Amino acid sequence: MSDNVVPAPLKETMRRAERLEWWSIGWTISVIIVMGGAMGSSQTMKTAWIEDCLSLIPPAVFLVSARIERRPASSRFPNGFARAPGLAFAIAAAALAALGGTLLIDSAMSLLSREHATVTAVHIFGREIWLGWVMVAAQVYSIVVPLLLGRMKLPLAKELNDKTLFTDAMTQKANWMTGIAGIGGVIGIGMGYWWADALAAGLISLDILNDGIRALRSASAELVDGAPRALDGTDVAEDATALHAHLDACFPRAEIHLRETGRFIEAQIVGVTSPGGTLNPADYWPGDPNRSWRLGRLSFVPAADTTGSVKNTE
Amino acid sequence: MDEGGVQAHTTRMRLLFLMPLFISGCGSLPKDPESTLDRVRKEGSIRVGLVRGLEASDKVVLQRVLSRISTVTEAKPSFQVGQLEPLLAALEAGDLDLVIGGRFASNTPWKKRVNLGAPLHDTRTSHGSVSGRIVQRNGENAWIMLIDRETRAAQGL
Repeated sequence: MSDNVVPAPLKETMRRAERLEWWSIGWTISVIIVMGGAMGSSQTMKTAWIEDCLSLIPPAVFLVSARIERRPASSRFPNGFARAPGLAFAIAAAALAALGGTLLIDSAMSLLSREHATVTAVHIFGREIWLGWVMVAAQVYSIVVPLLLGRMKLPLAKELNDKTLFTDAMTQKANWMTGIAGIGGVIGIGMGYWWADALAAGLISLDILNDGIRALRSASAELVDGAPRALDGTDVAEDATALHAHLDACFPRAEIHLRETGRFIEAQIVGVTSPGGTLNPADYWPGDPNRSWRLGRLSFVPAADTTGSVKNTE
Repeated sequence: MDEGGVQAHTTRMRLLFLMPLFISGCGSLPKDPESTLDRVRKEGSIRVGLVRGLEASDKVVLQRVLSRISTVTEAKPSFQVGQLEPLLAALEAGDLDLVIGGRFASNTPWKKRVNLGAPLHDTRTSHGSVSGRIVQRNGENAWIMLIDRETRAAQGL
C-alpha cells in the first residue's frame, strides 16, 4: 500500500507542483516589492500589501509539508506524517483569520475617525506624477501575477487532491476582486472621496478574513476526523460518497467510517473481521482506477461486546 | 474551463486593463475631499496661519513660495498669527489652508495628523535637527501637490 508517501502516479505532478510553488514565492516577492514601493500612506495599499505578504504562507506551507510528508513512519510516529500539512494549514489559517479581523477593525477605525489619506506626487525622471497612478499600476501587477499562478495551480491541486494547494490556487484566482477594490480605493482618493480608502481597505480585510475562515474550515474537518471533504467546499467529497456506498454493499453488516489523512482516504470497516488473505485497498475503489491511490488504507475493527473488551467473531 | 467561461474571463481581463485608461480620461486627479484648492481659487483668498516670531532667514524663502502660490491660484494670503499648536489644530479642523513658520523634528507626532511639506531649511539644535516646513491639511491632495510644486520651484529644484 502507498502508506502516506506520494503515490507513484502522482510523483511527477508533485514535482511540478513544488516547482510551481517555488516560482510562486519568487513572483509573490516581486509583487510585495512593487506594492511596497508604491505604498504611500494609503490604508488600502497597506492592507493590500499585507494581503500580498500573507499569500506567501500557503506556498511555504505546501513546500515544507511536502518534505515532512515524505518522511517515513517511525516508532514515535507510526502513522507517518500525512497529517502534518493539515496541522500547518490550520495554524496558518487561524493566523490569516486573526489578521483579517485586525485589519478590518483598523479600517473601521480610520473610517470612523474620518482619516483623510494623503497621496501626493512623486517625481520620476524629473516628471511629476500623482502617486495614485503608480499605486494603480502596482495593483494591476499584483492582480495579474496571482491570477496566472492560480490558474496554473488549480489542475495540479485537483490531481493531487491537495487542500493546501487548492486553497492557495483559489485564493489567488479570487485575488482580482481585491485588486479591483484596491484600485477603486486609490481612484476614490483621487476623486476626492476620503472614505474610499478606508472602505476599500475594509473590503480587502474582509477578503483576508474570509480566506482564513474558509481555509480553517477545510483544515479542521480533517483534524477532527470528519468524513473526507470536497476540495472546493465543506460537503463530503463525491468519491468518498461513492466509496462509502461501495463498501456498504461489500460489507452489509458493517459500519463504514471514512476519514481523511492528507490526500488519502482511510476506511474503517467496523463490526466485521478481515476477509483474510492479502488485501489491496485498490480492489475496493469503485471509481476511476487511476485514482485508486486515494484509498490509502483499509482496516477492519471487530465488533466490541458490551463489556468493552474486543470479541473476535472468527 | 468551458468556452463561455474563457470568454467571460478574457472580457474581465480586458476591462481590468482598460479601467485605468478609462479613468485617467475622466479629468485631472487628484481632487481635494474638502475642496481647499477650489475654494482658494473661487474666493481668491488663502487662509495662512503664521507662527509668531518668524526668523529672518525663514522669511525670504517663505515669501517667495507664498508669492508663487498666490500667482498660480490668483488668490491673496490673509494671515492669522499665533502659536504653532493652536494654528495646527485650526488647520486640522479646516479653518486654515496653510501653516507656515513652524519647525518640526523629523519624528514629530503631528505628521500623522497633518501633512508636513518638504523641509525648507534645517536647523541644528542640541537635541537633533529641526526643519522648517509648510503644513497642509491631511488628504487635500490637489492642494498639497500644488504647494509642493511651488515650494520646489521656489527652491530652484
